[in-house]
Amino acid sequence: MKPLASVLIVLLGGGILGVLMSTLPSYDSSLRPIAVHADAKGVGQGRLFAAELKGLTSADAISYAWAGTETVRDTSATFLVAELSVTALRKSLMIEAVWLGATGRRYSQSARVENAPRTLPSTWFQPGLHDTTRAVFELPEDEIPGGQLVLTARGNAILDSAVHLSAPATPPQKRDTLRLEP
Amino acid sequence: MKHLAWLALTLALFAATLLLTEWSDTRDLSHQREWDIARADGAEGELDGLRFSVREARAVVVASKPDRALVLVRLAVQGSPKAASQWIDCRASLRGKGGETWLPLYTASSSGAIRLIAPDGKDNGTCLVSGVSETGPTLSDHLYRLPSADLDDLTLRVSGYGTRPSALAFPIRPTVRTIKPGQ
Amino acid sequence: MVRRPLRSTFHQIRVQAFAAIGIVAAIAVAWWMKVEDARAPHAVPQIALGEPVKVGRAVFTPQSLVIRNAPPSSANGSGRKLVLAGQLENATGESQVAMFGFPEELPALSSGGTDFPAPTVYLDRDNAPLKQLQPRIREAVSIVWDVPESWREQEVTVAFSTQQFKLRDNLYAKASWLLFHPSGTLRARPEVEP
Repeated sequence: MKPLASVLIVLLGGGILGVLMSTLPSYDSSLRPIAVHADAKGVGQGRLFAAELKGLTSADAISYAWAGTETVRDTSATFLVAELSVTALRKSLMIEAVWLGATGRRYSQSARVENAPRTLPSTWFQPGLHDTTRAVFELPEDEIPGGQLVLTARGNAILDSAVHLSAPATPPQKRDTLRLEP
Repeated sequence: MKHLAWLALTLALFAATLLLTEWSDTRDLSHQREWDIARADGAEGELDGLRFSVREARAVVVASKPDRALVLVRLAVQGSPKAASQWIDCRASLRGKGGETWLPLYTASSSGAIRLIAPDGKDNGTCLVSGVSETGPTLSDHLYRLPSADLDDLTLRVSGYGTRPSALAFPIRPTVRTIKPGQ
Repeated sequence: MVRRPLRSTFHQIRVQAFAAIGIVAAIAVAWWMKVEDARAPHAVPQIALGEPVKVGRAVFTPQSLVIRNAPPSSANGSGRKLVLAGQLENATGESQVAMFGFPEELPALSSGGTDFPAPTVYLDRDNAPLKQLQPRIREAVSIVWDVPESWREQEVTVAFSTQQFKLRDNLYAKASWLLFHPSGTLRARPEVEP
């Protein structure tokens, strides 16, 4: 009887340990930004900044002038330009933007248009001031409806707030070439 | 009674472990935050061997966008190179009365804006402690962009990596100039 | 404490055999795993032009291998260039800046006993170095090597390696990109472009 009881206790302990191990949340789900969604007025309030999505535009090509030279970027998919109005809440900061597509893929801002005027990677946001900038993404067209724009303060975004701004219900009108003016 | 003694010892050791692991994090945090503020009256102040003075504080408001202002602050620093090496670097920021912090602009166009606003049309560059000498002051220019409504109660905070959590605070009262576009 | 003596010899043997089962099982499983490891083939697959191969964190389909006298983007020195052109696709779930893995391992070219220096990867669309690759967008890229003067036109071997992705790694159980292992070899004779 005693050996049987010992074996049973060992098996029960092993079972409890297995349940604990399999239900442990993974590192990525524990240490991730806290999602903050936009309120009824469309403004998402994070810890360090508040942001509003002003509009979305999509185009087949983007053109801009940089250091005197005209640059045109075309694509086999679509360029998505998101207009944002952002204000910092406590301290001057910069913001990173990622497009969370309808399929769940995360699209960073396009590095091919990094010299375009008034884009998000080169803008500092100040407390008390609302500034508008653009974030340019290159993605397949079906990622736009149902997608979200995710904004985080530049720097470590783990355990800080990430503002989620949803795409509007009507998909943006697609243009041939979008000119980015300063 | 013996159990209580062991429990008390466990709690004491746990607290000691927490303090030890927190100590390095607190030290890192104290190098980033400015907790111990030394207020300077007027435009001159000294902290840890370096003497700072605010030479210029000017604000410019563009008539077409009156809610925002550009503020130029010109700082002069003088002191021994040894004190400068203990400062390691120099960080300046403007504080509003609500606790907001504005950091200086370092974009490509800020240099042009500084030359436009400065009385002598020169841009002396960012605040560096590497060229500090005892003989003459080293000038630096900082440009800030902030709401016009916050112009009347500003504080300039200057600190270095080696001095934080101590920082030097100057009251700033910039002279405001409104310019119309095209000028 | 008094140790209770075991009841009979048969009981003694049974207890000792029970204890030894664990050790015997461990030795048997370890030996079997070594045999299985030796039986599995380690050869790196051979790739022909037009077949996809995993490179770094993306999938590359080589389409042509040519020797060019003029470089794809101007002002990059004179001399011959060996250009491997193909389609590169990001098969991960987010935009990649490190398409060829991090730390970067670009395809290695070797021919006639000489190793070539590291190549530059160009995006054909912009005629500029490739900086980023978005998921689900296939881009035409060119991998360009500088050819030393002494090399004569002959068969070349390009070795591709891919970075392993684990959803839960061994240290923190977080998703991470780990070590590189070879994923394919391309053996071809480059054509000379006039």
